[in-house]
Amino acid sequence: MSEYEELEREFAEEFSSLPGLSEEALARIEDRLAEELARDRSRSSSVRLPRWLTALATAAMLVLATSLAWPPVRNGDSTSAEPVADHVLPSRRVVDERVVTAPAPVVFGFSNRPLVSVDRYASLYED
Amino acid sequence: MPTPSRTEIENLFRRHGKGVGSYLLSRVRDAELAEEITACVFLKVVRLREQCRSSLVAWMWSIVRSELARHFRARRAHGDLDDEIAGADEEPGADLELRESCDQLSGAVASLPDLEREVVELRFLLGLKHREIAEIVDRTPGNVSVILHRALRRLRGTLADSSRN
Repeated sequence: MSEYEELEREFAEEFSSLPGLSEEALARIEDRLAEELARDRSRSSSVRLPRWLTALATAAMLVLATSLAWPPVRNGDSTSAEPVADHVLPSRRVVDERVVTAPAPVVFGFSNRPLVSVDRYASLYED
Repeated sequence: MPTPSRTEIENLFRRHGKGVGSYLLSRVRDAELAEEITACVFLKVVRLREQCRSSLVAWMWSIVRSELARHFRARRAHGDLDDEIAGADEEPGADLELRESCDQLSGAVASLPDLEREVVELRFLLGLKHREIAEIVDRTPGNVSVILHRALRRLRGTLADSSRN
């Protein structure tokens, strides 16, 4: 036996005589470890979607929501909760169409905007 | 390096739990405290296992050292420890019989240079193979044998001196 092997054996005996944790203490630690491993198992078994899948689902929801909302509402005619009766006021759509299609005899001001003459405007209400 | 499985962690405790406990007991000289730190070490191994980047044993050893250092820092902060961490100073309330049986060998081990001390503790308290020790201390297995040989000769000399005195 070499000197090294002799030394190893000698000190293996010396160290084995050192006091260690009791069997009860080791058993308690093992129990705590088992509990922690069980918790870890239940944590990892819960469904956890990968991030890319979550992002994909969000994007799909956005596309769906956008397509349901298309085409956008024009002139706000479906936004008012209580539509104005035709006999009270012409609908805005009618007004807008007439503004667009009306000839542009500018009466007031110096604006280049196509204003409606007073007479023309009054005729709108006669409809 | 893949994340260690639960089975690997269970096996790690079966193989090294006792050794880690003995090592910590030799350092803190208090059985309850050593039990608590040992439990903390293995609970951390479970909780942080995804962070394991080396061999499981080497990683566990790094946790042992950090937990021990944390313990001594906390003691220092409370003014309970004025001397060297590794010193053989007495712990108030520690078991007298335990202390006496530890003192001679532990004192001799504590007097070794850091690397030799670590290699001796890994070899004889944790029961690691030279190859495993080599990975932890970042040396070759042959180098570990040389360090261990030198340390054991030094230990034998120290123990012989102390028994003569």
